[in-house]
Amino acid sequence: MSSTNDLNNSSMGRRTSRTAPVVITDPEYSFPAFSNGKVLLNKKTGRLPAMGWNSWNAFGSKNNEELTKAMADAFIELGLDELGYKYIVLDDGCYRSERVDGLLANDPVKFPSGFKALSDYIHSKGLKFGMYNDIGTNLCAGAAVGTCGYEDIDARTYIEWGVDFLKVDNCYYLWDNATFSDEKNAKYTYAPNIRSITVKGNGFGVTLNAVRDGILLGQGAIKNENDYVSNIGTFDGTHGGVSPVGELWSELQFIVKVPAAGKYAITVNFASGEEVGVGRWLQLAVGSVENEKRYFDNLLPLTETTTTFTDSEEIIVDLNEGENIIRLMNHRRQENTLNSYAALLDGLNKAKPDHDVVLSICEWGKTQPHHWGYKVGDSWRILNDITFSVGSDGDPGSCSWSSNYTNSITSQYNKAVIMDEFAGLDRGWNDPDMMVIGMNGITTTMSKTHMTMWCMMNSPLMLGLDLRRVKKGDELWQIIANKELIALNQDALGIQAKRIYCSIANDKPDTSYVTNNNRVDILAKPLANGDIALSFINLSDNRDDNEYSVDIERIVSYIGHKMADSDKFKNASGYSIRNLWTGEQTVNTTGVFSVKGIDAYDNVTFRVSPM
Amino acid sequence: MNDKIQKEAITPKDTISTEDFVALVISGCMGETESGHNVSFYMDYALKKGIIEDYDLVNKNKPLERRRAARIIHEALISELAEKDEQDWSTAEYLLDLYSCRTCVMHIAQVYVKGIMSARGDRLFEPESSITRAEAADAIIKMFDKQKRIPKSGIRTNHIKMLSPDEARRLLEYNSRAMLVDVRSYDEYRNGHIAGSRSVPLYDITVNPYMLTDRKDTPIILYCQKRYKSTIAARILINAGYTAVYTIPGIEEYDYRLISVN
Repeated sequence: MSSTNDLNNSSMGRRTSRTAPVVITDPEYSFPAFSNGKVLLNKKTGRLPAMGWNSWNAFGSKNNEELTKAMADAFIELGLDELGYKYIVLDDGCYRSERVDGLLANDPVKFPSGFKALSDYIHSKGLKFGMYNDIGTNLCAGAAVGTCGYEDIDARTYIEWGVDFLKVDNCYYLWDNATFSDEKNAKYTYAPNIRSITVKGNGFGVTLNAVRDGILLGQGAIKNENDYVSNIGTFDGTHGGVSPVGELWSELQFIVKVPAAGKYAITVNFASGEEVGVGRWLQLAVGSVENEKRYFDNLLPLTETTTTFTDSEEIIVDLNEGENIIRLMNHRRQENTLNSYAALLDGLNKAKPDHDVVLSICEWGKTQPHHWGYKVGDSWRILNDITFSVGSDGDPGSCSWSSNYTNSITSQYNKAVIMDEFAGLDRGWNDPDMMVIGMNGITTTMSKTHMTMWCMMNSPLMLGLDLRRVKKGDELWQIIANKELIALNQDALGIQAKRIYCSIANDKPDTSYVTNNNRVDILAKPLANGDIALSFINLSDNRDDNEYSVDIERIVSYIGHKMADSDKFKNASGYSIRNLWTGEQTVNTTGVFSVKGIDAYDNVTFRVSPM
Repeated sequence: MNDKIQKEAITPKDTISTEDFVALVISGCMGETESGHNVSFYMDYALKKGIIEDYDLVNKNKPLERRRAARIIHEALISELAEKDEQDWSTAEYLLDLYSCRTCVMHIAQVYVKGIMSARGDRLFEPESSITRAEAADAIIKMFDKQKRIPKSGIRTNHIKMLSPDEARRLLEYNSRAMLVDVRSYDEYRNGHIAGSRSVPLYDITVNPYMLTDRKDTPIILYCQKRYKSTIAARILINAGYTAVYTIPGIEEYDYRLISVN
């Protein structure tokens, strides 16, 4: 059996190991605690979505010191700082490709003056400085300077450099089959195939078959014809096929009735592998998820094939007289990743107890971070990247409105729009990636709707364009500087809009995962002063001439419990309506809010104030 | 330069170091008939022009990976040869591992679609494996000589394939990832469906065509009552990028043995 290393919890902070996944001793860091709503390590809550600029979409790996300073200068010239944009974040491609004396260092060609000097420059403008790293061994673009095993040291470096924002990626991760990881790492993220368990003790003995006697919990596990259960683990959320709503993991449960309380020996008949669906890491717990005790949480030996079954060693458990729940599972995909990000937060806390560093989790939705990210982070990416065609100096790069993968505005929106229940001031924000306004392939209309979507969804507003292409007052500027839209994103109530109508999913518009873009959505967002925002969005490539309406009743039934004063809203004598893109002001006395005729890709967004 | 490439091709399965590859690319871009300078001259030049990165410099003597070769070629095409990107690179999705390398998707897509580098074996680019000298020589020849390229644009031929019930059964036996999908309503499925099929009503596929599987090459065999709904579902899946979509006769058109759900 493989050994596991304890999380090295020094006075400098935790540090993960590069030889084995963390030993989880504190149940607050394990799966059952995900639903308790408690943050870890005193993570700061109450932050609004971050606003700023990130280098990746604009310049990819070719960002440099000069360009970054030019962006900071542009923030001031364009007045973006006054609108709330404040973080200037260096993405991948800025470090020296290897550590120097164990420490992170700057790429000598692209950032010759070093990061402290750049940080000082950015701070001198009244702005904040962000950087990038990774929970694996290397950064996505290759540099061998990932934080794995260096979390405490790197956290101190970031504090010394005056970093205010840290985006942390998931490439080359050792405990999951992430991008550039060894594919065999799937052994850590799936349980083995399980055929049966045998429970013995106190003169009692029973063998239970996984297919006949086992109960599958969650979704994803499969009862195979040949008597065994496979695919016990957590769905990979990177690609976007599976709805983010619901249980995204699977467990195999048995009910065992024993004659007397006492110690019993369980052997598990298993066949293991190192591939997606069949792994080697097994967790065995007694009790339901609300009240479990784990007795096993480790690798099992590799069997000859994934259907060569063998018995595990005995696992000794305590059972009560009568019925007992025994659960076989593997939640390590989520737990390992949480623990890696926690180590970074711990390092920052130890390096500077009163730090104000925003931790931006970027594991691409792989481990369903909307369930645990809130414990240590301020936002969590929900999918792979919004574009793979990033720009460079002189080339704006490109993106598209829709695609068959994650690389479009609507791919990101379609998932994020039903994730509102996972976001909040006490948690953090769903992150549908940096913005693509200003890239080739994105029209002015698309840009406006993109801005509407991200503002309504309380997504971080990280600009991704070369700001030297923007002039104060021009078309692009009017979109990214729309104060009234930004006010929705930064509203003090901190509530992500809910989709209360979807033209092709009438039953459950708030939770149905819809990726077909031939439709109109209506989003509603409660605001701190008692107003609401309403957006009518035509996602399709064609103008829609139908009339779309929502009434007060529908609005209140979906978001009433989150509104500042739903009674006042419901009982108002009329509503003052402001169109946030045209500035047009009207009055509504019917309580039915309608829009007729929306151009392709366009949106109509109102701020509705009760009178 | 062609002489140099010929020499390089003598031991085709060997790997090539980053600096040797960069020297070939840059000297070619400079129009040199053979590499006239020290290797370090080309490396410095490439670094200055953003064609290579610090990582490449530090690892200059190590075997070059295919994804880095794709990046170096792509960057050099843009900065040295003023060659524009192909706007439609969707045929690169033929490569099953295209998105496994999120920082190099576009480099791989461009060299693939332009016909400069090709897949290895069964639809894989294998971005992390080392490029061989033969592959490197071939890619560099195609980089500079557009006539020799075999562009992959517009060759996507995804149409609905109709299978007989026997062919479908063989496909399901042969490929464990293949899935048989009943696209009628769940009630109809409950009353009688083909053994081994799963119920995914057409409406659900319409709303989210990506729900069946993340892997676009998964064989998906669809059926309904009279091959009407299954044909619509197949069209939707093909538009969503699935490449192995099949229909079989509906249950009114063939005497299947049906099972029901209690």
